[in-house]
Amino acid sequence: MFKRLSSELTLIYAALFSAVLLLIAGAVWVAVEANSRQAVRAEMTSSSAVFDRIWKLRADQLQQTAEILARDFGFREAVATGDDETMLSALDNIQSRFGFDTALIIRPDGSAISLDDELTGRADPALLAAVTTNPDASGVLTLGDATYQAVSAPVRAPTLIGWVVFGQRLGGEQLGELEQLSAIPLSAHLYVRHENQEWAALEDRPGRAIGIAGEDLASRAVETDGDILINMPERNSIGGVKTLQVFAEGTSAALLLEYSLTMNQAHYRDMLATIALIGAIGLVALVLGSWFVSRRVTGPISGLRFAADQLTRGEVAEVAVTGRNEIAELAANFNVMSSEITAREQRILHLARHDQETGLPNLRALQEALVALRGKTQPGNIFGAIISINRFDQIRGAIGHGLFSRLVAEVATRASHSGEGLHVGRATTGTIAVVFAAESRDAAEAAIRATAQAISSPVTLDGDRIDVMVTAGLACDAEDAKAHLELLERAEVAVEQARAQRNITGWFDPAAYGDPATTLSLMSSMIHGLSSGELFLAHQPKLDLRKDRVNSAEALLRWRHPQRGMIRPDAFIDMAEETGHIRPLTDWVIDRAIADQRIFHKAGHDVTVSVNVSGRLIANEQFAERALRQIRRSGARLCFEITETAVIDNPRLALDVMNELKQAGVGISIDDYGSGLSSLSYLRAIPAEELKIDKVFVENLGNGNSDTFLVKSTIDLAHSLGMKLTAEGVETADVLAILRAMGADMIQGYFIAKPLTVDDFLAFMQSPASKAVTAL
Amino acid sequence: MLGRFLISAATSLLFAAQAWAGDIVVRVTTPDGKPLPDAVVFIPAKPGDPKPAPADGLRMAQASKQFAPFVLIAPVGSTVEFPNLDKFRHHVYSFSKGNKFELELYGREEKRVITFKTAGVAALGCNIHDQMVAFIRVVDTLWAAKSGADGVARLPAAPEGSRRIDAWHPYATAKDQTVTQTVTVSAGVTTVTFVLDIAPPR
Repeated sequence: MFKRLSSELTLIYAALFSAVLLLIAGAVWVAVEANSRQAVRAEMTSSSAVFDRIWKLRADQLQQTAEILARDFGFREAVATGDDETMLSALDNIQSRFGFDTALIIRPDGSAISLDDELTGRADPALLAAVTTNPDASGVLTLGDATYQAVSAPVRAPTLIGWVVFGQRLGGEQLGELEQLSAIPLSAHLYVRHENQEWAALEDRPGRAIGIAGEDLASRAVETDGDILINMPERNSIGGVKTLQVFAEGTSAALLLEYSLTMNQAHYRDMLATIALIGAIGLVALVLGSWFVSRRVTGPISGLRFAADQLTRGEVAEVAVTGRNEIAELAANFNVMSSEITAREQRILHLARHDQETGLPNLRALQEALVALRGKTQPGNIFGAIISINRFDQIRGAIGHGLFSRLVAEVATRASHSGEGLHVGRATTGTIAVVFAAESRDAAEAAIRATAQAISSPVTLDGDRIDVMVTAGLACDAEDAKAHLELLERAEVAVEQARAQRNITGWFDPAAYGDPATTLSLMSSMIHGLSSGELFLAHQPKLDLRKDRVNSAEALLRWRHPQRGMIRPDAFIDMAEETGHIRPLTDWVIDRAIADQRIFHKAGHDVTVSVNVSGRLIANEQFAERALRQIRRSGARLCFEITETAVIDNPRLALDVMNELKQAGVGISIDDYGSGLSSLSYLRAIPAEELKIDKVFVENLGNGNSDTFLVKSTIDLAHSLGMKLTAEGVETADVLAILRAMGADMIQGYFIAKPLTVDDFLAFMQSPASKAVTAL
Repeated sequence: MLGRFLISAATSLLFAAQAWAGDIVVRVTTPDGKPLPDAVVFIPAKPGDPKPAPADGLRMAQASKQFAPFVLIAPVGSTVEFPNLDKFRHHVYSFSKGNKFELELYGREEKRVITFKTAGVAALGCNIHDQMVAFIRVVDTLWAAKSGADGVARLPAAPEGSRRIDAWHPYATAKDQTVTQTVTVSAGVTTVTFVLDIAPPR
């Protein structure tokens, strides 16, 4: 939620503090509210008590005055004797002396006398009933339009002869006096309800009306703990109701003491405002304080985080350690970890870029140097060289791995000192690689020649002098992307190419290298060509010198490619051997030879057909089984031409297969004798019936060199081992004559015929040419 | 006691004069049946009736801030003596119509008499002592009597025939504190019962 711990801490503290403040404020408000009501009620109770006393005092004053008058002898006499004038003057006297607002005398017969003419005459029935019931009646009394606090007193002489009634006006003036007597700012309102009427306010002061209907107020009255309370939320006030004693039954009167909560709450509001202000100041202080504290705590953590990010990006990261707390410890540990990681990383990088045996940069490092070079140099000016120590395995075998590593290191040192701007590293066990920039190909070649020169002088290691000869291959970064080889891979190929040409340095030759992709497509089209007739056998006749006739032929594979024309056999047969296609190819050749032999036979020519079988196949039992099966089924007479090397890989199995073939009537012929490594022991072991001497010995016969002797001795060797000898490459009648003289059994060559298609072979067999040859 | 004696003396006198008449025994009770004393029972005078003679020796004493008796029957023209038996003075008055008088402060040694000339009720009070109340019933008939503690009043030698009888008590709630009934008086004893509702002043 927060990106920074300090923000989070600050917010949490602020929130907690605010919550506590709110709780306090709430509690204060609730307390204030309750307290306020409590206080108001207490005030009203006391005000009410004060009012009670005032009311009673006034009533008592009235009452006493009424009693005094009622007991005055003269007044009684006047009343008893019906002396109205005297009575009225007495009333007048009392009224003016005490300031009463009204006074009247009621007689038991219901007649009333008063200074107020309106009250004179028949007394109000309720009034009469009141005094009759209670001669000392006291309370609120409405006479005419006015409402009074009234009392009555009986007049006895000594029997009851009437009642005196005195009244003090009740109204705004009196209420105002009452309000002034209160300790708290009260507003007093008087309500009166007459029989069958509604509550009505007695208020003649302007602007003091409550504005709530009396009945509404009455309905709100709730008695609480002995007090009758009325809530007036529209005026934000509460009222306490004091039921007033009434003079006559049927009338109700009540005093409403209203207390405004607004005024009461005002100073509590001040208090709340103070709390809020203190809270706000506290909150600001807390936010600042917790921000400061948490910054102090999280500052180092932020530093650690920043450093960790740096470390993640692989930059050098270090945190300043201050103080001695846990975070400082963590920072110190982090620094240790960071430096160890950096050191380990550098070690790993070094290992990744350097050869462990020699400490030289490896191919990866050179590759990086190459990338760096490419950033600032044209591809045509970037060159790579592989410098290979000649016969390195022999040298390594002689001096051991340890010294050889030092030798390579020394070679690399010399190489790097041999010129400016050379990036030197170890490529393979016996080679070093150089990546460099040069003005031109010639300059590059010159530089590498100089390097090779610098290297090619004896190295003394532990007292032993070692002669170092090298071959260098060169490649340019700009050339021949088609080869799919990296610069140094091309240089490595160039090494082999230079070595093949016995040069010290050589450039990569894409044409000579060929293209593996081409190879694969060639093989696939070869397999296709087997069935489509693009491949066919050419038969080269062999002349039997003993019988002077052609009775055998060597089947040679030919491929006429629809686009590429005739493809040389060594171009695709070697490839077939490398890629494993030699087996189906040879199967096809055997089948084809059998078929061709049948054609010859039908034409009346019994011809033994020789088939070249790869040394890799002769020890292949599946191949041998299939070949035998085909030969037995057809009754063909075939001869398998193999080279001596065929038996080297697995001599026992190869010899077993050959013996089996021989038993099946398949002739074994040793091909190209003399060109490879010849082993007399194998020659003796192979159950061959024919030895074919290589044409290099035959071609130069008669030119007075040693070949004649070699051929003669080979013929003798073959005969002594029970084999016939066939000479290949016979191109002239002289050679034929020499061979015949030396006792060769068969000859083969252009002098007889070149390899022929089936049709041409049949034509040749019929032709005078064959007769002519045989005649020689 | 003295008052009662005087009345009985008077009635015996009347009794002797009108031997031909019957006796009336009046029983006065409150509504709950309790005997009501101090009720005055009388046969209002009719023209032709013999006038009663003023009585002598009637006394309305004041003792212990009380009048005694509470109710006194006085024939018209009788003079009533108001002896003060207390050590302090009294100021006796009556504002009753026809019998208005005032005996201003007088003591034990001072003799006060008042002659009542008008038939009716004289309500007596003392201007000094409010609780002192008494009534003198001034009558113009021969036949008047006050109920005793047993609530019984006797009207001896009442004229025979149909006559109105009134029963009055100062605190009766009836109009003029009087209840009236008509009885037929025959020779012998006629018994009459009055029920009076009483409301003593508070």
